[in-house]
Amino acid sequence: MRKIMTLVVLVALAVSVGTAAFAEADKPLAGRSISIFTAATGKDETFAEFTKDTGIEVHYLEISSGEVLSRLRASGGKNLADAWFGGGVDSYIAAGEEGFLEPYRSPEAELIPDEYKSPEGYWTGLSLVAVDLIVNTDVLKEKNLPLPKTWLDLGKPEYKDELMMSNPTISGTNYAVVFHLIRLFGEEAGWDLLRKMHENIPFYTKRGAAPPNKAAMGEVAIGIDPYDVGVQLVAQGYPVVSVFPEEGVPGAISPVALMKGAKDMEAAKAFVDWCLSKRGQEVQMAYTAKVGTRPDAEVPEYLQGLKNAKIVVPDPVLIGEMRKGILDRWQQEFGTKAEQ
Amino acid sequence: MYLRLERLDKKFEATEAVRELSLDIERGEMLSLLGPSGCGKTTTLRMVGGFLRPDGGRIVLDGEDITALPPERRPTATVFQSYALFPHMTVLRNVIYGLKFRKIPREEALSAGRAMLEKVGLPGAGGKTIDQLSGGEQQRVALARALIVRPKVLLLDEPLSNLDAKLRVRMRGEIRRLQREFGITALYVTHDQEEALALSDRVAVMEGGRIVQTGAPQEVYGAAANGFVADFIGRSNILVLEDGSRVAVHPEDIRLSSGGEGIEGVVFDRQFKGAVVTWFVDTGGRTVEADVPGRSGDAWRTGERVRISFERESATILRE
Amino acid sequence: MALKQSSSAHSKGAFLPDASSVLYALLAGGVLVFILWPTVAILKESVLVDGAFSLERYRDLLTGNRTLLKNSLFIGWWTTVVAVSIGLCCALYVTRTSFRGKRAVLGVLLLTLIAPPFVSSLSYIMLFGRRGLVTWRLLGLRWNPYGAHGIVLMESVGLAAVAAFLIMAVLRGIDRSLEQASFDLGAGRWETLLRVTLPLARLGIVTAALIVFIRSLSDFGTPMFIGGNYNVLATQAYMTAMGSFDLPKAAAISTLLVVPAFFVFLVYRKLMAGAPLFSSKSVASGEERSLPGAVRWFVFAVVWSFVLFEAMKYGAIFCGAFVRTWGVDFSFTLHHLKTLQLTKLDSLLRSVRYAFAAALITGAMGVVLARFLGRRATLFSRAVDFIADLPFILPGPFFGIAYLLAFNRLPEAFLGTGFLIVANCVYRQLSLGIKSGVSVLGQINPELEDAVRDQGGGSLAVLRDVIGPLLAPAFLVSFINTFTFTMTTIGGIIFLITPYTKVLTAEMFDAIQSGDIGASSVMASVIILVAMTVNVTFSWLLLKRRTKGSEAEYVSSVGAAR
Repeated sequence: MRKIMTLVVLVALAVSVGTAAFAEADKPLAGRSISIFTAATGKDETFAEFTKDTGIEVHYLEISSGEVLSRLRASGGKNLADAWFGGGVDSYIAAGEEGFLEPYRSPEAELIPDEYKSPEGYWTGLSLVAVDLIVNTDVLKEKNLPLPKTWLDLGKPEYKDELMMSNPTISGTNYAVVFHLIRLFGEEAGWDLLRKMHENIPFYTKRGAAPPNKAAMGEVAIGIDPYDVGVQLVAQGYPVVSVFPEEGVPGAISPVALMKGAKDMEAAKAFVDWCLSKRGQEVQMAYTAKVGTRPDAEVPEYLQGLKNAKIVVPDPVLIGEMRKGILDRWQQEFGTKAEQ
Repeated sequence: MYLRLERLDKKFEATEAVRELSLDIERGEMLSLLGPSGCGKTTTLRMVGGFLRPDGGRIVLDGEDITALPPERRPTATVFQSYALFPHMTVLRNVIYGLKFRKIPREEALSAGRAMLEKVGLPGAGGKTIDQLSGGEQQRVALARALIVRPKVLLLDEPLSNLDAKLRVRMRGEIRRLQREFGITALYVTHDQEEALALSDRVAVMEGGRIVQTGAPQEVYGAAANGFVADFIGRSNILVLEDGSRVAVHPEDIRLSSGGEGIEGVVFDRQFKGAVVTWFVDTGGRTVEADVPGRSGDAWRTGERVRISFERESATILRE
Repeated sequence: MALKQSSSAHSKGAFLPDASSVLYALLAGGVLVFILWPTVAILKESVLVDGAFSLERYRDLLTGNRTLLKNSLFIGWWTTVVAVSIGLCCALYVTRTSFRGKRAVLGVLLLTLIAPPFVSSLSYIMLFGRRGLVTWRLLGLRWNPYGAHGIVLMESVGLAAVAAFLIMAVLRGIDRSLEQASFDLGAGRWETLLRVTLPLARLGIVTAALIVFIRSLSDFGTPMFIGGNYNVLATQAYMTAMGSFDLPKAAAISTLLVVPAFFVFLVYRKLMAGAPLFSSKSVASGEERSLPGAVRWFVFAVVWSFVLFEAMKYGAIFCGAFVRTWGVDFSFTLHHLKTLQLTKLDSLLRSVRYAFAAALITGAMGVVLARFLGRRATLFSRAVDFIADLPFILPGPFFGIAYLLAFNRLPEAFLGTGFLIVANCVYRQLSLGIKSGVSVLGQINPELEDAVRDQGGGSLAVLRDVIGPLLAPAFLVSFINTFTFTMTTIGGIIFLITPYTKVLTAEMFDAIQSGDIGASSVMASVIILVAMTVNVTFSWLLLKRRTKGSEAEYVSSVGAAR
């Protein structure tokens, strides 16, 4: 009959299943690989070191912490990944409260100060992400603009269309900035400054790393920058400088956490342990331009500069509590310019 | 009889394509199914080949009832009107295609194929592809393919209709020669009556799904069973006699004379056709065509009065 | 009277309950499960608010976000006008002039067709951004590159190739003797062009416009990267789905996008009902200088401007792959290539694997379904055919979000196999597979089947010796098309990416978003290279087998299918 056609289709199916099976080699087999949501620079090198140390393969998806939270909420309880690495602590807090995270107090976290850890054990701080400004000196010269020194400077009308920032509902780092400004200047003045800045921002990008990149490319003069991104841009030779606003910058906690229902809890725990170990912390500091939370880990030369900056660590509980309120208001007032 | 068609019926939706058709074909005989478009001749052929299931009746070949057999199990082979040669195979592979179903080993098949190609007049063409062949050559390949499997009955579905006139005549002879040489029983479908007359042992004239006359070519031509046959085969003049009866007479049987007995008429046109000259005579409303040998040239002139006569035997009485 | 249909005793309604029926049921079932169900799922989600039926999402969209719809239509309209114009000029250039360099033009068109859609945005920023190579370094301009103008420019330039191939196919198929008759009767070249050629090409031009319009509506990457503030429905759908993961809202937005697309779809089906995909009729070769002089030079100018622009575009990308820091440090480096090898090789291999799998499956399924669907005109088979056609014309985000909604509940482990991504690509391109199968089948002399039977072969032999080999071109066309598509698509599958199923286009998308020029350039170059190679290799294979004269049709149809 149509035997030959059935055969052809079966062969095709077999090949595709076989290829899928080939692809299934990516699936977590017991104890050997884990999946991670992450929003961090230097992750390839970091994970490579982890794999070298432990033999566990890492499969990651680069995704902002705000997006992770959204996905978790939409997942209906289904487990999406084994662990979560980096991003804004505010999302972690919310996720913990909503029951998406698996509490785990790693033995490696003993030496880490309490203010960098979740009281319920949902997450542990890896490092502090400082926020600075990446400023393109060529653009400044060309447009005859002064170098901004303070946050308030950013609200000045002379910088119209020259400022770039990410959407805080998506980018944890930028939410920390918003939170920081409100705490710094108070409700009234804080939102007022944000409004003035809004006038200067052509549109809000989605990725935290986009504003400094755009500044480096000369698309705008100033980009609000997660410090680790800017460091690399300077190194690549772009005509940019890093500026820490004088009033102080937020040092957002970048945490790590276990996801509830992780397929390979053992391997995932090993991952968390490694990240918080001295060795893991030193690796991260080498590649991710963030100062680690573990005091006994050595801080490399190029990060020493951070020590001079006035870094304000936001209250981890407060930053979580106020998230919904702040973001709702933000969305209402400024959502139109968002790429969202 | 070698091949017997017994009361075959075939209906397509509302139309009856073939009605109660019965026919006996002798072994080694070449029989033509002749008729106009829509008369059911191709339908009949396809039923013999197994491509259509008859609604009623039987087909018996060499003593075996093959009515229920699918084409692949029937000992028949078809030369299709479009030749149906496999475009993606070489000529040789086309020819030997059927042998693999008879479990003939490849080597043997190849040499049989080459031999057959020689037989049909295409020596050494085995390596060519179908699109490199002319119409006549493709015809021969189709024939070769059908003959090589030694079918009990060879079925030919208007095989020459796609060729030009001269080639048709030549291929006619080739087909007949091969059929005789292999002694194969053949059923030949055509609408060209000259073709049917020229190459068949017998002709079956069909109309409206039935056979109206079967017989040797001379019979069918000279002794038409009815008006339809008379008109379809060759050309016929319809004449009304004194007693009111109507007869059909072929043009070559018409005698023209300046005087004497016969129907009166006036010559009004002439067509020189090489071998014959046709005179057109007006007999008061009816036109009569008379064929005389070409060399007789200008026997008459336009406007001349003539008398038309013919032999009694050469007239077919028409009973409508 | 010759019965011109194969009336073998085993066809014509004789529905034998055997392996073939089961196969048909399976394939038809696949179409229903993987096309109809997701479509229903997304439509359902968009009208369910807290479990109850409500159109409030649509209301909100239409009242509050009317600018989105307006913007989408604005961009769609202008892109269509420009793209079809350029495409028409290219088509005329290749088929109606005797200018040289046609191969270059065709090559560039093919390149544009194959390249991932939003790669244009990358080179736009590189060349025409605020600090772009052309606008800033060369011309010293100071302008705002973001906005509708950039979007229309890059979208139309990218879609011109689709239009060009479609119109070329139709122009080629026009019986030249009609034009010759026009000249013969005394009409000048202008008149012939306007009264004979263009009206006859109407079908192709309209189809091209329809397809370009839909593509423009579905494009979310270009507006996202270079639109700046200018928001369109497609981008909004993407943001809503990926950013806040508000799937029901995203569903509503995508559905809104579908409305114009669906109308276009109906018109498209009506138009395509008569027109065969591969025409085998031989056309009288025509005089190649049949265009009026002014038109010829206009066409020349447009085409070569286009070609140069595209060359510049892709040149920038290929250069960007090897330049240290675009815009700053133009020194040569292999750094980006090495980074790709280190970190993205996995994704590249995965992309290729998925592409192969999808191509094989679509090729096989398309050909088998063509056999089943082409023979019957039952209500069921026509329904299956209609459904199979849907995804071809639906916007990527719609179909992608639909899959997300329909299959989200499946265990993550299963999703990690990439099955959904492959399925998404397969069913998006299946209709081309079916169409080419049906087209080729339709040209197979039905008496060939009878000849096989006559010689003693059964159904198996028919398939093995005749249908199979003769359908190979259809399989190959489908294969090439699906491979290229899967390799270069992002629109639908970006919603289906998990840590285990990252494909190179998604990585490239991320890189462009982050502004990493080097990484995105090198990834773009690799994707284009792989797709080009497979395309050229398999096309060569295909052209070897096909009868002469139909290569043009093949190229045009592949172009049309993209």
